[in-house]
Parts: sequence; C-alpha cells; structure tokens
Amino acid sequence: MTVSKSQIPNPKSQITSSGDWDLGFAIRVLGLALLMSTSAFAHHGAASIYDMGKETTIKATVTEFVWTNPHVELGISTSGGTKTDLLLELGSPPNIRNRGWSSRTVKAGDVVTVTFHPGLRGAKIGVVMKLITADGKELQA
Amino acid sequence: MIRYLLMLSTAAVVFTAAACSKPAAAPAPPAHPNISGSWVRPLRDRDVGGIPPLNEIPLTEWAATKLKAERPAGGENQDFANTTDPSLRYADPNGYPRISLHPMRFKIVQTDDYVYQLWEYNQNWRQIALNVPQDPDPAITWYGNAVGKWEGDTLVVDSIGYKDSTWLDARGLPHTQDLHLVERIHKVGENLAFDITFEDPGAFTKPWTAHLIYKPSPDGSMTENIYTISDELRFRERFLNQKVNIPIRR
Repeated sequence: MTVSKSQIPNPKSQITSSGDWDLGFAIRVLGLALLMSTSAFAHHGAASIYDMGKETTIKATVTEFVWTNPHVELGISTSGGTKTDLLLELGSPPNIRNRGWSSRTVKAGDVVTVTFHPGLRGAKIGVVMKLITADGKELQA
Repeated sequence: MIRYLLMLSTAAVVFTAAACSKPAAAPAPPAHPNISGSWVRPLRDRDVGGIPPLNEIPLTEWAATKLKAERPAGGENQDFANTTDPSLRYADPNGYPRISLHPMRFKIVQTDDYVYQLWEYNQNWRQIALNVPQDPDPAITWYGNAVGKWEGDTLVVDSIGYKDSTWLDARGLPHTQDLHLVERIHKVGENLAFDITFEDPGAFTKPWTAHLIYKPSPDGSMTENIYTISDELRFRERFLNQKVNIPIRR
C-alpha cells in the first residue's frame, strides 16, 4: 500500500512526500512533535506508553472506529486490508466531539491520513494528533 | 335578589380596590449571589489556581510514605501501565475535590435548600444542604456530607464523611476518613473561586488551603461521559496487552 510519510517539525506542516510503507512495524519516525496531544491527558499520562517526541504520518485504511470511553479507538491497516495493524486512541467522546468528530466521521474501509505519536518500544499503538478524512476534512484529536 | 345585589356590589368594591392599588414594590434583591451555571477549569490555563506543590503540603509521615508508594498515571513519575490510581485501576469515582480538578465542566444548580454540583465527568454529583447543622457521624461516602450557609456573598461549605480510598488529586495525595474540608465559594468578577481548607490530622500536620478558579462555560445540555471498569480494562487489554481476569464488555 502506498502511504505518505513526512517529517513534521511543525504541527501545521503538510505531508510532502510519499513512498512505500515498510511492513513489520518499522514505523518511520520522522520528526519531533512540538506539542503534546491534549487527548491523552484526561485519562492517563501518555508519556509512559507513547513516544511523545515522535510523530508519524501515514495514509491507511480504517479497520474499525469505536466510539467508546475512556478513549475513542481507531484501528488502521497499512496494507489496505481489514486486519488492524495499528490501534490508535483519540480523546474521550465528548472531548473530540467538541473538536468536530462524531461516531460517523470515519468508518471501516475509509482511506485516511493520520498523524500520531507511536507507542514506545515498538508497541503497535499510538495516540492520534490529527486525521484527514477520505473527503479531505482535517480534524484534531 | 337582595343577595345577588350584595354579591355584585362586593365584587365591584374588590375590583375597584384592586384597580386603584399602588403598583407592586420592586422585588427585593436576592439574599445572596447567584452562582448557578456551568463552570470549567481549563486544563492549560495558568490562572486557575490548583492544589499546591507537594513540598508545600504539610504531610504527616504516614501520608508522605503512602504518597511515595503510589504510582500516578500522569505527571513526572507516571506509570500508567502499573498505576495505583484508584480512579483508573478500579474506575472508582474521583471523590472530592479531585472531581473538581477534572478539565470537564460542572454545573451548579441552586435552590432555597440545596446547592447541587453536577459534574459532567462520569455524571457524578454532590449536594450541599443549606442552613442545617453538620451530622457529627455521617455515612462515609465518595463525595462526603456537605452542609453550607451563605455568609454575605460567600457560600461556606463544611464537609466530612469522605471515603479514604480516594486520592485528593491525580498525584496520589492521600487522606484519611477524618478529612474535613471547609470551602469558601464566591464570585471573583465573572469567575467562581473555591478556597478549600484541608484538615486531616492523620494526613496533614496542620491545615492548608488550595485556591481553585473556575471560568464560565457555555451553559446548556450536559454531555454524558460515563466511564466504567469494563472501559478501563478493555483499554488495557487492547492497548497494553494486559490480561483481564474478570468478565468485561468487549
């Protein structure tokens, strides 16, 4: 699957290049995040499970989108399949609803571009910073 | 016929008296401020006060030892995976005043006899009974037994009866079942201030005070945000690969 990857020294930066996604969860960590996501604060300290100094942007297929507490869950496939390769968390339902999300913002099968802090020690998880929907709408998580 | 005429004349007199009476006097000003509405303590605001730094809180040896053994989920020494935070480990209610440190808003509803605090987070609430004496031996509860009275423009709230398993804040600040809070709640401009004095001989060598500032939040319907032990354990199972040994909703 073709994915986009870019170094994002500034949260406002846009994806600038594309290439092939390296499977086996060798996520290309490409930049430093300047700001910590607000989404993780309400529930737990994100720094103990995510690398808040790294930021990854990929284009991937949604495998699941679960509107739940404590955090909304987004599963994505990096190969265009239906199996979740990466499990990402967003904010709590009311928090991200205030930022324009709803339970129907994305659905399984959608191709989205998502930026997240990856899990520490290679864990196949992440905490989402922002997402661009299939129809080009950009949302903060 | 005479009876009918008498009734008619009586009605006419009443009507005339009502029509000629002086306009009603302006309503008396309220006896105390109106603090009802929605309030929030935004996470990133720097002017909303807070619980003091731990080294400024006069901990007893017991409290210092307990605090040191705790593993908070956030902050400097965070350990989310192995946290001892009861509000995460057991999805316990936050208790008071920790619930009021949560960045979600709360609503105050005032009646003549009670002031209610309705927290959006987990739909928790507490009641402050007005103008009644404190119960010297109340039930032990998550949110304590609170009584209040207005002193001028300040609502003074006395509360005891707190379950000792809660943390006072997310850092793991402990207390005993003898916790006694005295809160002075008053408007500061458009904001609402809570000055909370903590007394607890088992946890603190002397009383100390925290100042919390809440800002007005757009009123309206409250959002449901209920979080259960199933939610917590499911999250841990999926994101941290932790084993879950009890039935949960998946």
